[in-house]
Amino acid sequence: MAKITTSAVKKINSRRKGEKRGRSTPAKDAWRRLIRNKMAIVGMIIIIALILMAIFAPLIAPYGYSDMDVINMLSGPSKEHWFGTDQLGRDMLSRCIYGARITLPIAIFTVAVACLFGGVLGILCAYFGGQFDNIIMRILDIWGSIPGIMLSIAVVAALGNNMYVLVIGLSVGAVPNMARTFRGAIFTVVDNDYVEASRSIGAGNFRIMFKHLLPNAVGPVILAVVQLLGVEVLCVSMLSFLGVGVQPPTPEWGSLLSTSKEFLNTASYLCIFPGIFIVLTVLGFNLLGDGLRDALDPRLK
Amino acid sequence: MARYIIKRILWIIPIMLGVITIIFIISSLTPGDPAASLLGSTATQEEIDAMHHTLGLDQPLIKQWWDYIVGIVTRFDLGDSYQTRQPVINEVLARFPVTLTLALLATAIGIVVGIPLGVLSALKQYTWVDNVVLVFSVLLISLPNFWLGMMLLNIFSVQLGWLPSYGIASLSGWVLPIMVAGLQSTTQNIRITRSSMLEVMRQDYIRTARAKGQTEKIIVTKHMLRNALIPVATSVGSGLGNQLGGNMALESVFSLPGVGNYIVKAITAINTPSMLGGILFVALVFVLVNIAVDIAYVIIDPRLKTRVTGKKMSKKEMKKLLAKQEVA
Amino acid sequence: MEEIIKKSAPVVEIKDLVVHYETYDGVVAAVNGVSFSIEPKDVLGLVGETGAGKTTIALSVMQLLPMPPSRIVQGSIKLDGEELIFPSGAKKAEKKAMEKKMQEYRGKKVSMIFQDPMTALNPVQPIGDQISEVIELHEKMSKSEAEGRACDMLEMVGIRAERYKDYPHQLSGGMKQRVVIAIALACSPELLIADEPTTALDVTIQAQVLDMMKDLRNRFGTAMLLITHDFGIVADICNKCAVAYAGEIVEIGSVEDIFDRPQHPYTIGLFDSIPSLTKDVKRLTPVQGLTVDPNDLPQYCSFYDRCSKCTEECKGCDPKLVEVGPGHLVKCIFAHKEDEE
Repeated sequence: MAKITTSAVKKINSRRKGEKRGRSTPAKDAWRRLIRNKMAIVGMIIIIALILMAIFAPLIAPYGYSDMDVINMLSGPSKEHWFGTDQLGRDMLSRCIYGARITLPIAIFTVAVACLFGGVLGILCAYFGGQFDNIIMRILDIWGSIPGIMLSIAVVAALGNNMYVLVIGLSVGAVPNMARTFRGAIFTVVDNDYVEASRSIGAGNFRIMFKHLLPNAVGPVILAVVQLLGVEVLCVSMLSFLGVGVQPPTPEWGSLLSTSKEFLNTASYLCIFPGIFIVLTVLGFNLLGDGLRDALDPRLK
Repeated sequence: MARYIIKRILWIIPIMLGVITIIFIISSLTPGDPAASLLGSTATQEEIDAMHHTLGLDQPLIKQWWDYIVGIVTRFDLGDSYQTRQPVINEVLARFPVTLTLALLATAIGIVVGIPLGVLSALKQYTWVDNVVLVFSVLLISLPNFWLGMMLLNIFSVQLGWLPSYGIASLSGWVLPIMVAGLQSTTQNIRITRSSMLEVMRQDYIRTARAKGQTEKIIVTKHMLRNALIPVATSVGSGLGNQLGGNMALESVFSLPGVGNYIVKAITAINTPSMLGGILFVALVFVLVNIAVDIAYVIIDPRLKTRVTGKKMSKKEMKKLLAKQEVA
Repeated sequence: MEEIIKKSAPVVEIKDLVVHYETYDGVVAAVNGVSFSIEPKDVLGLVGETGAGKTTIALSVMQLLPMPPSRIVQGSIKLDGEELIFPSGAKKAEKKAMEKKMQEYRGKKVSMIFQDPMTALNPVQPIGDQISEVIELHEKMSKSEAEGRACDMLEMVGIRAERYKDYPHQLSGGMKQRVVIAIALACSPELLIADEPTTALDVTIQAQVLDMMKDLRNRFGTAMLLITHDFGIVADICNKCAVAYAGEIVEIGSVEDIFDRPQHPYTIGLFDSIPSLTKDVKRLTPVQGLTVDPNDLPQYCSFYDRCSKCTEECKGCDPKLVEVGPGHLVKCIFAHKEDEE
């Protein structure tokens, strides 16, 4: 391996014994670096665990989310109710577990919609440039001038309190940033020679955009998507906390916190657990996002 | 330079018009009859019709939009609250100082605590210092601020009784909200300062500075920080704007008499003018903050500055410089 | 008398230098036992392919290697007779003291011109200040005296002094490189290390820069380590030449030795691949194969896989430098003394 064997050389040789050296693409390199990042692994485990929890909620939760154990109203954590019960005797643990079924899909759909609209806008802007880009950027400036959460609140208040409107409202707040991310990522490659080369052999606009430019945007976009998922989980819970969008008795975590607020003095445990679920979810996305950012940034360690 | 600043300031006008238009559109889509809500449930049909006319609701939509804009620009008229029948603008202005104070203090804490920690963390990368800071900052940024507020309220107010549980009747009522908002701002600054420093630390010109024989301390202050803090400054600026918008739930938890809490209460009471009026006010302040940040950015980054001003040295400066040359 | 004057201490003396880059994916053996010295007034051209370890050698002399991934495994570097490298058991205080001394030497005793001028200058500092910074660090003068000297340096490299307060982004690539050169020369160093100083520049600027460097050597007797992959530059300005491959010096000698009597197959291959001005050839003859992977060096001659003259014998040992003429050394088992042709 080297002309002189040092301790570092010995370590690598012993580790290499089982490995085979395949072809490495930037994507494979990034994946390998991601796997090595402990924070990213923890984040991935948390997210997968939460998704599984949401999917298998009926099997995991000890009670239904609206089952009322009238005798044990407002009782603290106990053997039958690990997280205690609320003012209607519902089991907090079960309600928290089912809560994942509300928050995660809303967040995922919101990000998907924001990606779709923001992505199309961003790609078109970067590709066509010029006046088109100018106008769209000005519109995005205006759009992004209203703080996202407030815009979402206004939209939901106007259009009604159901989950579809909530997704629309939240994505409206997220589109400007997403569009900018896509645009920025594609800008870095749109000037590259291979775009001109593709055009010179007759490739159409559409083909160039999707086959050549878009794959290069994947890195920053995946990062933005993961980070946005964390942000949206916080937004969903804040909106529900404020009574916008999801209404009680739907067991959304933010909504649970809102109804528990009045019991802060008497039954404070009701406020602790839904919050912990929110923190864990956002933490999972943030850890994964941080790990992704480090993995996508080629540096010498 | 002056021309650039004026251009940026003029740009406020279309943005504000756009923002007002967006709010107007949302307001028009909101269900419910403003006239009926204002007059209450005892109103007769005639009174409602009369109110329709007073509010201009029988006009075509374009005219309503125009009147709305004119009303805001000339009279700052954001409508009247359904609950109190008072002009929304007065109610919002009365509450704005609280929100502004919270935002400014939180931003200040974020600068004083967050930036140095971020720098330290980057300089000590791969050591325990960096790892601890990293773990804490990613944890703290995952907390919903209103939940953190509730938890701290629980500990310090309910359990320990050290701090009041609501309002700012006494100064100690400010402690918890500022702590929570400040914590958010701090964590954000730590993360962005750290990543900006790490980026700068790897640059070639830092190696050039070392090759000159410069001491590590001066390299950090003169070469690294001066470059790393530029993106941090913009983040702090927009962070201030985020504080103004994002502390709604926090104000609600602590029952602070600020604009955020006003909006929250308006939501619950389906008081549309108050809600939209409050949101519009905050949005307009946000626009002003962003423009100020844009201008500041140009001033502190020499690369943008020269691009904008095309500045060359004045004749006097040049004379002084050449004089030094002769002496040496 | 002449003999005694000539035997002054070499400006820099490198012996058996071995540098590894230790990464998660492998150990990159960047420098594998390099030895050479540079006397005052020498201009040593260090030639080789990308990845031959030339920049690493240069950074080792400056002690600017990024120490977490890189490690000086063994060897000695003496600057003006003073040892720069510590044995691995050195204490923290000693290392600190050495670093402090290096800070005094860098920019004053030994300075470096880096390869990429586009990123070598601080974007938020005026170019004049970047020059006066190095002057203020090492010379005892007031701030305005240093600024005056910086103006002189600007003029010397062909930039009008009025541009003192300009920022790097307002300059072209060639001008940026000239600022870098001004910084390197501002305190009249004894040794100037130039890492491919003209690679990023066009030919006319290249000629100007080389003339400037020649002028320096003549006026101040500055010794130079000139890293390049262009033999033309070596012929123009150097008096000694070393050929590097896979982190080793495979041949070293005076410029005449290398150009007129090369012996190492790699050196010969390099010269063969240069297009000829006189002959009319249909195809160029490059050196066969690709450069060896520094992650995976063999225990025998590193050039074996590409050598046209290799035999089974070559696989059995790792050749050492052999003196084939006065000051002319070759690292090949087939090296023969010059007078026995």
